[in-house]
Amino acid sequence: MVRSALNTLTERINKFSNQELISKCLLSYLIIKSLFLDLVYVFPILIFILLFVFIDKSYFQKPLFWGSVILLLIPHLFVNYFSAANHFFITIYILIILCISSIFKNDQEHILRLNAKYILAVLMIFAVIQKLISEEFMSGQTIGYMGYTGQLFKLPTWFFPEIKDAVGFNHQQINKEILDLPVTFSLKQPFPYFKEFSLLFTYITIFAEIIFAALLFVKSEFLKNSFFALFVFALILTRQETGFILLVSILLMMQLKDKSALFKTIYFGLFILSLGLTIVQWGFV
Amino acid sequence: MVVVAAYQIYLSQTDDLTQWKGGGYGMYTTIHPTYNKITFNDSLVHINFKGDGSEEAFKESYYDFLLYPNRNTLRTLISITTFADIDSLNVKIHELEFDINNHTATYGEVCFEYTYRKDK
Repeated sequence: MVRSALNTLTERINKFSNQELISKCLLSYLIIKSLFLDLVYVFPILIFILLFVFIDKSYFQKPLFWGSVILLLIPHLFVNYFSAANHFFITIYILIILCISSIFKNDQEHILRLNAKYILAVLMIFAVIQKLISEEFMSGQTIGYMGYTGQLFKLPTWFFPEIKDAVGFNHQQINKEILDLPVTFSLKQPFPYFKEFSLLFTYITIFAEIIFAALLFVKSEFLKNSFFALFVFALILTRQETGFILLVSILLMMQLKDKSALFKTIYFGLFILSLGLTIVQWGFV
Repeated sequence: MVVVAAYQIYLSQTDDLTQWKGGGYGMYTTIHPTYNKITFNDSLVHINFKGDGSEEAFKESYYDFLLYPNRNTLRTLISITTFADIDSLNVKIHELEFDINNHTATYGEVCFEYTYRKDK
């Protein structure tokens, strides 16, 4: 019965063209995101977009539609260039690609696939460079601190009460009211050998990102997409960056070849999971 | 995309922009800068500080300053505090330093210092 339901789901998801499915996913995210954007000028453009979506069923094939959505977000990026989250930049890049692919309809799948591949590659390469040039990261201090205060591995800590207690204690310590500086807080180690664990996790993170970037250029669809799906799933387990994760899931759907029905369903599932976690505010939008 | 990310790395290495922002994908490479603390004339500025502007505007400019400390973000922050009319103000950002060997976190070292003058 589960298998039959999964088959039906896969069939239905794969009925959509990549352009349509990605448009729907990205717009769902933007609707959630817009609730957090305090933008007065948005209103008239938003009305225009809503009218477009309801009146024209092939809205996702219209450059005017995508141009309007970009127009909606560019001023926000311009004003908040140095405070906007990195994945907001990715949102803009995806919108630009959708706009271009709606102009060149004959090459749509190719445009989506190629651009997603290079966006993911650049993203991973820069993520690795940033980590390699950060002494704080390479020494394991960053991962260590985030582990001590529950910013990493939040989901797994639910199953280990002792770790949860230590993280809770550390969180309280850090958020104590400070009256004067300098000040030092004593923290609890989540579990023995956490320093070694942090260092190991630091190197695993860099290694995984290098492998990710390299696999984008490997031909075997099964090999690379199995790794990408595991990578995204690990991100969900370890970090609360659900907005970032759902955009990576969208990019992964975009880079798929037509025949990869199973992976399209998996990435769509990861997208829905991340969107759900974003809506319930477990993660960041 | 490459230009944006490269520019971000340039600013984070040569200026005070945090690795976390600016489209360079350096999230989780440092402890988030919003944990850092600000002092005005060696007095700690609290996030629930009551300035002349709204609480929301204060919080936004407080965090903007921590993400990219520079004269512009500082000017915005000061403009909505009761310090806006003071002629000279010594502003410091104290970094949160984590010591995994001793299981401690310390606010002490100054990672940014600037003397703000109203007339400049």
